[in-house]
Amino acid sequence: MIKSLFGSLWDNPKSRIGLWMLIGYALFATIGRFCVGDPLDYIGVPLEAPSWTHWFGTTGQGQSVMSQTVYGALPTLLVGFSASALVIALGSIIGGLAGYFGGKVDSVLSLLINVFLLLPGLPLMVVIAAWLPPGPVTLVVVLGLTGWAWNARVIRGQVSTLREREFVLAAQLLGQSHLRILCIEILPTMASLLLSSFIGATIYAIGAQVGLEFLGLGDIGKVTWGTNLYWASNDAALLTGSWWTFVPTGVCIALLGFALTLISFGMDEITNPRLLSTRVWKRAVGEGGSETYTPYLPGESSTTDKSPQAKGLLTVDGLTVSFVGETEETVAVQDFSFHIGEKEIVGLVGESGCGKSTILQSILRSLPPPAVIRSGSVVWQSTVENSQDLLQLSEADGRSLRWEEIALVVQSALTSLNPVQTIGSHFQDTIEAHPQKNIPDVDAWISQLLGWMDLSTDVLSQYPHELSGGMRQRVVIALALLFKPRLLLFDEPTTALDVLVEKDILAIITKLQRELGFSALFISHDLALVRQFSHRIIVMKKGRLIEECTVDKLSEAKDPYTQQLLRDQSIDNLPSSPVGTKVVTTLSDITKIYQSLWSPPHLAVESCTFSVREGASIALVGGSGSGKSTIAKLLTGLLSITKGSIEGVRATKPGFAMRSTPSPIQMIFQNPYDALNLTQTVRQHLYSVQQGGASEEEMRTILQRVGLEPESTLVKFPHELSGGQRQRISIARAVLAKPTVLIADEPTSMLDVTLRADILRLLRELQTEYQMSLLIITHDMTVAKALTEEIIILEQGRIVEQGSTDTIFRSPQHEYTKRLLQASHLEDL
Amino acid sequence: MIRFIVQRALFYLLAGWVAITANFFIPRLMPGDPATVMFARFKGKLDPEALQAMKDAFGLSDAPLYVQYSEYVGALLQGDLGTSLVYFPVPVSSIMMEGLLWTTFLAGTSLIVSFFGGTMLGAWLAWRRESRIDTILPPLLSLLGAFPYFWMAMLFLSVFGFSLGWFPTRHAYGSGIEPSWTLAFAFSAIQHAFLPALTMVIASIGGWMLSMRNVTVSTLGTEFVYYAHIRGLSEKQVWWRYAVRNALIPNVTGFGMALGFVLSGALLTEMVFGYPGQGYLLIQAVNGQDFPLMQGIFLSITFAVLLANFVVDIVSLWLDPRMVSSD
Repeated sequence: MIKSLFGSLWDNPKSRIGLWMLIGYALFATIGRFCVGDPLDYIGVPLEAPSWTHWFGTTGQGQSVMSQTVYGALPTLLVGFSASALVIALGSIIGGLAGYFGGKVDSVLSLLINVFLLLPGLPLMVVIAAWLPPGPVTLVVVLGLTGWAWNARVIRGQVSTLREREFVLAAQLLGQSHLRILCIEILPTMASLLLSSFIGATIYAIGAQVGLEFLGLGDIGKVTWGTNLYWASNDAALLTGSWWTFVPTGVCIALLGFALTLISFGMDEITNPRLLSTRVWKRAVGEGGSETYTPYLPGESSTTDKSPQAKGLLTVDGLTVSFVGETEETVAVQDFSFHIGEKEIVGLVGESGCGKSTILQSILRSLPPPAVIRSGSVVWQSTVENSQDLLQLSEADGRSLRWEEIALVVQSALTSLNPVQTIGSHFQDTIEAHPQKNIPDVDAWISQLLGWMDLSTDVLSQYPHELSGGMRQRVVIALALLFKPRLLLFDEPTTALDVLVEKDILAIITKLQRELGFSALFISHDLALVRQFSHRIIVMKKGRLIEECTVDKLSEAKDPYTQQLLRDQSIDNLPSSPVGTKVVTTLSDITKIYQSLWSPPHLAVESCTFSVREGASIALVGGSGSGKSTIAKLLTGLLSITKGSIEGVRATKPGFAMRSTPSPIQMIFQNPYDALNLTQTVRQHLYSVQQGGASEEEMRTILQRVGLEPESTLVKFPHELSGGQRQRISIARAVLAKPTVLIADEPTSMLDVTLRADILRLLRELQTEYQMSLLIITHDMTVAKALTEEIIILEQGRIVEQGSTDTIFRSPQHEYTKRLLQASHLEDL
Repeated sequence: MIRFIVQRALFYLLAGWVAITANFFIPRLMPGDPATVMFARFKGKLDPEALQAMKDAFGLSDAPLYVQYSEYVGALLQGDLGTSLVYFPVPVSSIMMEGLLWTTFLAGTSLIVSFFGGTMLGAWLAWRRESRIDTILPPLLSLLGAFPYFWMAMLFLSVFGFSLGWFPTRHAYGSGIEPSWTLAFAFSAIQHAFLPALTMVIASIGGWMLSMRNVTVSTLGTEFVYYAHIRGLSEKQVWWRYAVRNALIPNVTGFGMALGFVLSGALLTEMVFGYPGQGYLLIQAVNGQDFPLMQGIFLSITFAVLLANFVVDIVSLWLDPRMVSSD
């Protein structure tokens, strides 16, 4: 990780210049002094201008400016880098502890950090430095003491997000000490942040050091860059116009700062690729492209001779889109053709990264770099006789068509709405952007739109963050309907929402479609969802169309991928594992209240009681905010219980510096991309599971058991593995810790649906083999049905229903359970 | 909103208290009892009253620490910052009064000019990103920003002041003019402030510009900018109301954070120009080892920074509606 960081710094042109300059400085400071005379020797008359004998002239004392500049480099650099190291060390310790432990530790330390951040540096340094004997050590201490707060703040912020990451939680469950987690799991992940902080701190340390010495607070008998400038200003160099006494030193300081700045520019570009130039793409699209619009650019192999024909309201024909890279071009969408008829809903289904969003962006003429349209047409039938190719339209014509005729319902309403604008002004902006669209009574129309969405007009004066996720999504739909467009594009509009809210919103969409009669293209990864209201389904994989049929013909689909998608919608009930009579652990009457200094307390779990028997499989089911994940964290000890108790097997608490045994309650996390540490190999992940290290043989056995080839997998880093493989590593890691209870938190929700059944089957097999109790946390009744014999339904932190899986499916009692069952699309299958 | 303002005000009060307390303890906690050493050095050079003032200031009295502390805080609250040694027996507070005014005028003006100028330049560069000007200006201005403030001041003073004689070389106003509300005085003050202000602006504008440019470019990649574009809003509207408007928020917050740092640079610039602000007083205090004055300057600058940050908080509250409801 660190090695590759330096590698990419070296590859970046800006930081490479900076690194070369630093190397130059290092040589200048160390070897340079052997090439010039003693800086304290009097070599000529005071303030002699540069000449052939004294290239840089003499100081007010008659000493060589050149020697002083060269000799000044080493002490200045040493103090600068040492002070910077001290700043980073203090910042990492204080910021790291504050961020990692959170709570009261954080409150106190953050306050300290914020106070120190506000104390003005120079006067504080002066007040401290004036009391200490002048010299390099004093400088380092003073610079360190006054400069750490900024870095502590940055590091605290980063650590406090990292500590919530799943790989950190996993390490805690494995019994690793807090100190080890902080130093081995967290800090290496922050390598680039630490490096750029170090660069920033060095720039600060050198500037502040020179300033202090200039004030006369350094050891004025020694030769450093700061004292050079001190003497220059005291020897009346300015009065006599002796610029040469201070210019060389100043230029040296500035070029050093500049070299460091260049490296941090490079760092920024590496960590934030958006700042990198889109040079290659620019070359490909020429003058016509902008960052929000890609012009039509036929490639050499394209066949655009055939004139486009309209088969319906919108006809996409032979669309090919590529992403241009430095060396090669990747095809994102290949020769894709389909059409959407009048008043028709078409569902476009495919897994993430298959190119479905690219198609949507092509229709909207808003492909961002580095995409290039290589061939094809998108024909819009504006009237019965008239049709036009959207890809050939001018930007102005295209803009007015957008939203008036074709509108988009985005996936994430929270990030799509401008956080500093009210909902009302989003409507206002859109209306102003389309002056030719004349809405007779705007206010009445908007309130009717909101009424359809079950929203009151009060939302108009509210800001996006003040609304719930469901309300925001409704706002986004209302905005899309503003000009009654003929085609609506839905981009996974309910993926980010709770299952029950999803159900409500889909009901509104289908109702409005029937009333207003718009056509729709509905993009989703979820076939079961889309088939409920689409007329026609298109399945795509890796940029290609592989199936197109009406919904009622779907069951006759020929393509194996479609068949697999269909099959995976329902999961066969897995063979149950033998359940013992012994109770392993019991939660009695547990309550969790989140308390914070600034915000009102939040009740997450209230008076929950249940017990887990040996070998049992239990599902905790509920929507978002139901408290199901909180219960899991309470069981694992990652959160502390406010009230109530847990008896039986209990989680072990990690020590501060001492390793403890792995917790008997282990957990498999939701996000396979987050659950593994990117800086460690698979071997390191598995090895650290057991106290004293897992044996090579054990690691190989478990990898084989979860279906991975041990030899090649052990040496791999997580980024070399697919999502499914990562989840298998997560499972292997948890099982290797030999838990009594295994908790799986939505173990398949982030994976493609085709992998779901396999992962669940693996869990069941491992459960039987290793005699574990299994606790599944899910919002999906399908998963609960396949894997468990007992279900606990949670709503807003309370258990509303509890019983055997059969009973709950046969005769659900609580209203919430019934709604959850409906939302799981089970009735359609 | 009231809750937020009260919270921030309490925080700044706390920060102020920490600064005062640090000020009290620094001379008392330093290793090797430097106060006694200092005291011995001054013995015989200062008159007995001044020595007593020093004793009081550095905790050489025999009273217990908490008594000294409460006396110290009590005196501070009455505006008593002790007695200056260089200007004995003038109290520190009255020496600083004039310096504070001039610093506010000079540093305040140049800070505001460089922040607004830099922010606008940055927004403009983000608009013209990847153009020729965008590849030249950021490295050029960061090179200029890498020169120490006071070095830039020395260069400007030596070139435009001494060599070319375009600008006055010392002080805040001409020697023949009495401070008053007259046009002549105002002209003289501006003439004297121009060169130091210019060096500060040149040295600091690059930082503001670069951060505004980068934040704006990142904002352009957000979904709300894309969504605005899709809704048919013109480039200009998207630019101002979505990208720049949102990019302002972190920049204004950053302004508050960097204030202490930039002010430090301003103090050094004042020294070079002999400008009678806090910086000039600071170098006199350092040369004369006038500790009460140093500490007074530290406190006054700290309180100025705290006050400015409070203003920044209120501005960000107005800029960012999310702050009202969050903590």
